Parts: sequence; C-alpha cells; structure tokens
Amino acid sequence: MALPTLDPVIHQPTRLRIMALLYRNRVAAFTWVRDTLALTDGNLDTHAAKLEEAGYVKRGRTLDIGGFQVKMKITPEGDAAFRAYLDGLRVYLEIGPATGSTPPEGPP
Amino acid sequence: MGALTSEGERLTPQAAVNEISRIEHLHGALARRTAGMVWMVWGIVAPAIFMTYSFVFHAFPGQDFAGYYWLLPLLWIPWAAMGLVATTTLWRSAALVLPRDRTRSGLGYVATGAVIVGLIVVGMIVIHLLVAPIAELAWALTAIGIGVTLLAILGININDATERRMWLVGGILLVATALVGSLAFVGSLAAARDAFAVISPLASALVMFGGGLYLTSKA
Repeated sequence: MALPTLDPVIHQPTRLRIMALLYRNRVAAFTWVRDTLALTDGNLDTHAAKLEEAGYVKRGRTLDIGGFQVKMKITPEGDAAFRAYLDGLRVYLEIGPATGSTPPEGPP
Repeated sequence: MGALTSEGERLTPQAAVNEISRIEHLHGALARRTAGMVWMVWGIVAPAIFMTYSFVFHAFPGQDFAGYYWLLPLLWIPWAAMGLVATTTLWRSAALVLPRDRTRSGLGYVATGAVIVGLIVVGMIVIHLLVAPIAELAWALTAIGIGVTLLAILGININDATERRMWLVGGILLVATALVGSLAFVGSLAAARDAFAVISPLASALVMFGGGLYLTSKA
C-alpha cells in the first residue's frame, strides 16, 4: 500500500497547531490564537500568511467591542486539506511503524 | 520515523498526532458560546422576575396585596432557580468536551446566580427599610446593573477582555437607565411604577439577552 504525501503546508509544527485550532473553532481572533498557542505576533503572522497563500485560512477585520479585531477563519479548502492530512496521518500510524516508513519531506 | 518540514523542524506523525490532541482541547468558541447562552438565560430570567412583580402589583393593588404580602419576597425564587439550573446544565454540557481548566467550577455557577439574585434581594430589603419614594423595580434594575458590573469585575462567566468590557458597559447602562428613569419621574411614584414596569424588563432583556446573543453569534 502506497503511503500518502502529507501536505507540507500543514505538516509543520506551528501551522499544524494553527490549523488544528481553527479546524476545531472555525473562527478565532488573531490575538486569541496568538495567546493560546504562545506565539509572537510576527510568528503567527508569517505562518498565517503561508496558510492564507495556500487558501486554507482567510483573515479579515471585524468590528467588535473595543474596536476592530483581526479574525482568522478556516476556509472550505482548508477544512478539506486538514481532513486529508488527518487521513494521511492515520495511514502512517497504522502502516508506517510496521514498514518503517517515514513521511515525505516538505519542499525546501 | 521522522520527517523534515519546510522550516527544518522535525515532525514525526506521532508528534503531529500529539500536537493535534493537545489542540483538540482548546474550544474557545464553545466556551464563548456557552457564556453567551448563560447570559441569554439570565436575560430571560430577569425580565420574568420583573414582570411577575408587575403583575402582582397590578393584580393586587394596595399596601397589603390582598393579604399575600408575605409572598412578595419569594416570587423571584422559582425564576432564579430555573436560571441556576439552566446555567449549570449549559456548563455541564460544555464540560463534556472542554478541559477542566476552561470549565466553570461549581463555585462559579453559584456565584453567577448568587450575585444577581442576591442583589435583587438586597434591593428589596432596602426598599422595605427605607420606604423610599422610588419605584421598586427601579431599585431592582439598579441591583441587577451592579450585579452585572460585579460579575464583569470578578471575571465570572467571562472569557476575555472584550467580554469584560462589554459587561462593564452593560451593567453601567442598566444602573444609568434606572437612575435617569427615576429622576424623570421624581414626585410621581405611581407614574414611576408604571414606567418601570416596562423599562426594567425591557432594559434587562436588551442588555443581558442581547449581549448574550451578540457573544454567541460572534463566537
């Protein structure tokens, strides 16, 4: 059985955590994601930009109590990609250890 | 079993699963929606209490309320009990998936109801002791406003700074409504009573139910 390729955009610790958080919560304030995952503004911004570039996450400003707030939302494409990533992980965990396989490396 | 990721950090499938499992427990939206629904419940309970008293005042005019005066201090209890049960049930439901540190403790449930209900009772006692020429429901609205403000300051049923600011403003608005309304009807207690029979349930519903609905829809 051929092992699937894990999405390199998601298969990175910080982006994986961001995607998992958004997959679970659907929409979250930028500041909440930053504080919950203990990231810096710059770090989260960099990874969010990559996820946005891949079409997995959408960022937008909404008017909230106390002013405008940046919200992050998982897109339908991001949702599908994360599901596919979970399926891929499941295959690795079921077959990988027995065959000694490793996930493919992401792009440089 | 390992893999190099694009940023050079090693992430094995097992490590990825561990990361996801950890994040699975972070349900900010659920906590916020539950808090919003709790406020909506109290946004129904508070007006219901006001309307019950308005009904009694109008159905039994006079000082002795047709001999049912002893019932007055007890009328709020069924509503408050239902509010507490609904609050507990909502947080218990959320606790099925929320980790322990994000659920409200038993003390939190009790404190939420106790602050609101306690201030209503204190307001009523003050009315009886002072025999103040101010509509009773205006006092009760003030008490609820102070209660909401206190909950915001103490951080009970509050998830973040935005919610805290919102409820601080909401509580102050309720107190301000009671004060402005009372001042508008100075010298005419009967008119003030009639006016607050409408103002108190309306203001408490708008602030508490409306605020809860806003939180729930924004989560």
